Amino acid sequence: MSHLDRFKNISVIGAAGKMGSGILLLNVLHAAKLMHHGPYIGQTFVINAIDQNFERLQGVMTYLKGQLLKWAEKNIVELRKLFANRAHLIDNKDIIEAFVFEALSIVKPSINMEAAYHSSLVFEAIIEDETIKASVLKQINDNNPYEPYFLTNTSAIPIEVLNQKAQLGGRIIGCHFYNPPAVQKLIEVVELKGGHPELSKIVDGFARHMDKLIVPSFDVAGFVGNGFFMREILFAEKMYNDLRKGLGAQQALLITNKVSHELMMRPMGIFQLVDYVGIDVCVLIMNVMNTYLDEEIVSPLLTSLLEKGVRGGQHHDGSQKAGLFSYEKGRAVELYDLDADKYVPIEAPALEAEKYLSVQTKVYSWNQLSRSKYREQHLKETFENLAQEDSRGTQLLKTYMTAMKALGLQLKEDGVTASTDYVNAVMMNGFYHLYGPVNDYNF
Amino acid sequence: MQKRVFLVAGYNTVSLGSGRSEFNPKKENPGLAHYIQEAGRKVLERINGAEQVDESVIGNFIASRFNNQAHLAAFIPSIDEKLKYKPAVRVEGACASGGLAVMTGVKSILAGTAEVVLVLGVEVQNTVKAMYGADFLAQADYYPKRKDGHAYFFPGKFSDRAGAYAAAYGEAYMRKGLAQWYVNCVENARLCETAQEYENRNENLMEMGLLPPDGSRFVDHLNYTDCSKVSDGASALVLVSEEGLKRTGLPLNEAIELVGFAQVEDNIMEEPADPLELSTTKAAVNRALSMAGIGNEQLATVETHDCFTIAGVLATEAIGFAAKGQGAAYVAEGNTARNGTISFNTTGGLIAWGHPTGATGVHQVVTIWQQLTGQAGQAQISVPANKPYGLTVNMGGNDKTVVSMVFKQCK
Repeated sequence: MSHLDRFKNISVIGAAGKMGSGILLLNVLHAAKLMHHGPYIGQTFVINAIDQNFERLQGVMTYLKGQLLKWAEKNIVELRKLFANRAHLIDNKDIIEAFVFEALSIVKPSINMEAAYHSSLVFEAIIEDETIKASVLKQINDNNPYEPYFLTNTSAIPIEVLNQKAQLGGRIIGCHFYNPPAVQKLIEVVELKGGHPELSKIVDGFARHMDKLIVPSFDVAGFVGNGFFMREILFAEKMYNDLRKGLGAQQALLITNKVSHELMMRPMGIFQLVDYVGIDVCVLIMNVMNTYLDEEIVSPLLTSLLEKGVRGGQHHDGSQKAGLFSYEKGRAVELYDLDADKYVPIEAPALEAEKYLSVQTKVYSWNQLSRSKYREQHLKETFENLAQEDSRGTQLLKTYMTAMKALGLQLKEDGVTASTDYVNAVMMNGFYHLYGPVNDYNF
Repeated sequence: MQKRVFLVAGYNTVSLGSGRSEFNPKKENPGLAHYIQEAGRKVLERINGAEQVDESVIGNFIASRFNNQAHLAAFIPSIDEKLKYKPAVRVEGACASGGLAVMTGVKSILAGTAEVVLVLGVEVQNTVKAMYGADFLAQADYYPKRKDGHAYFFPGKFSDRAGAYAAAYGEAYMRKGLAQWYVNCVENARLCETAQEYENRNENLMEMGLLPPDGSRFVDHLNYTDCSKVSDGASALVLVSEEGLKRTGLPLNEAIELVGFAQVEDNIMEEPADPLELSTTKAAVNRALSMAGIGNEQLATVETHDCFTIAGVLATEAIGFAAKGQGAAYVAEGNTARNGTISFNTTGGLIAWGHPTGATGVHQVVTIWQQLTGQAGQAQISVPANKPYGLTVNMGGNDKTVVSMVFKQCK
């Protein structure tokens, strides 16, 4: 069976989830384009969208339809070429409708795992729990006569652990998509030591077709992305605790968030990022890393928030749930006062935090820089100016930047990655940072 | 001409679409009736009411697709009840529908069936996304060719012309001309409050115009800056005979006189014999100038159909200002700018004022009336005494239907 033949029958497990629905969409787009090429014209394609209930699956089908329509409209120039041989499809509208209809037709929603027993490729995107993941993978593998390849979207669990527990005989690879998978360019790929060599070729081909960027990681719990992110959370928590010695909880939280957001010119601060990913998800990932690493990866701050029912994450419509902050139209409007255990308006403590930091240097916003063609030059000049300023803000910035660089270097030293370039690539493409943590800025 | 024909009133609505701050594609925008009524009522105010009007003509390309609405002549009485039970007709010739509407009004006066004719042009195109609008607009060409055409059909057609021009005379040479055309248009539109690019504050227009085209995203030889706008809007004017002029009570110096015109067709089923030439435009302009008895050196201004910047460059050659292949240089050297040898498209043309397709031919004539009567506001150009003429060129399809008219100041 050729690499591409394997895409003729795929299953996506957890297809109605945040990550699963995006991975499903990518596969539908991939297959829908493949159907128009050479030997695959006229052949049958099947993508099983498997999840726990029909309500969620119905929502996914609506999501798919909307996304396929958007994709087709945006890529009408390419699509007309794909449909050049279909004489009766003349107008753009005819072609777009045919594309969406045909793409949706290959998706088979199901609540039965048995649907995956005929698939030669299985994308897994279920809860980050090694026991549940291994059990699902094993069930499919034991009942599927086609020796399927498994692509797991785990962001932390060592692939070898899943391989062993599910008895997959090396037919598994880590394929960590970033949220949202349809938009984010990055896929962190974790090859199993001694795994099936064909798997990485399949992932390479898939990534190339879907215009994704692959960054390799070694099979160490947390990999590069969460290896960095979880440790950064712990560092930020330490900064928060240090600040708490002289300041209230509101200020300490906002100051840490502001340093990691505005002064570092990132799209959001570290605690907003925790909310975006979900406090529960972060704690889950830390638990996994804690299990497999000889290092204590535990966040008392996030654990206590979780115990109080503060979870973050997103609603089904993509809007942000309350976590360390509460949000309106994507903007933080309140923050969680960890002393008083309640949300308070953000304006007054934000002003206090600003006053505390007292940074005089003009700092660009992430929005400004992300669109600027002079980004590199602006970053260099801004960091040079910040380095010359001696304020509480620049001192904290220096501490933060230094720690981030050390984290990047540590990942290489610990054998998580072959190069700090990969660390930078993950942070820049998966987290939308404008520069990597291992950099030459004067901090 | 057996009778004299004058233009005594003109009005352009805003050209609504991307670029205008009041435009929001996600919200409901004004429809056909709004534009027809606004433009119609404004010109009727100028001639002391609808009772003066004998007949009406409305130009529209394809409301039946963009708006699911046909039978536009029956909207005319909605402008004013005094237009009820009077003759009205809708005419269509793709993007030359507006020009055809003016021509139809002229012929009514020449035929003696009317002394005062209300002429409108209208199009509302922002009802669908661009890729679906491209399907509708493609009907301005021979439909059996649609399958092999580009997703953005007409940009594809004029990209082919630009590709041929680049192959014959050089890509960089052509690009400078196209970029300068774009710059001139936006700079002119900034002087006209109804223009779609009126609020354009980009300081790097030339840089944008010089960007190399990306065929993988759009067409091979044109950028978005080389394309006319997707627009909603209407224009209206009033044509009168000498008798009609008396009836309106307006002074002669507020009117302009039509002294030459031509309306010509080429075979829609055939590709242009020479992509480097707008041969139908050339035939129409020659005939209109000849009828007026003037040469192009007597023109103070030209409103030409720059649906794409390459069409603007090719028009300078078709009208005879530049020799074949010299149009890009003629434009790049500043000859067509508002203070150049001959002012082209003084309120932004189709590239920057906008292109509500069925209204464009009427808008061009209204702009010439404004310029020759000193009513163009900030966009006013100087009209030398020895150059009292203005020319319009309104094109439908790929140089298939062309209306060209020559107007003269009345003093």
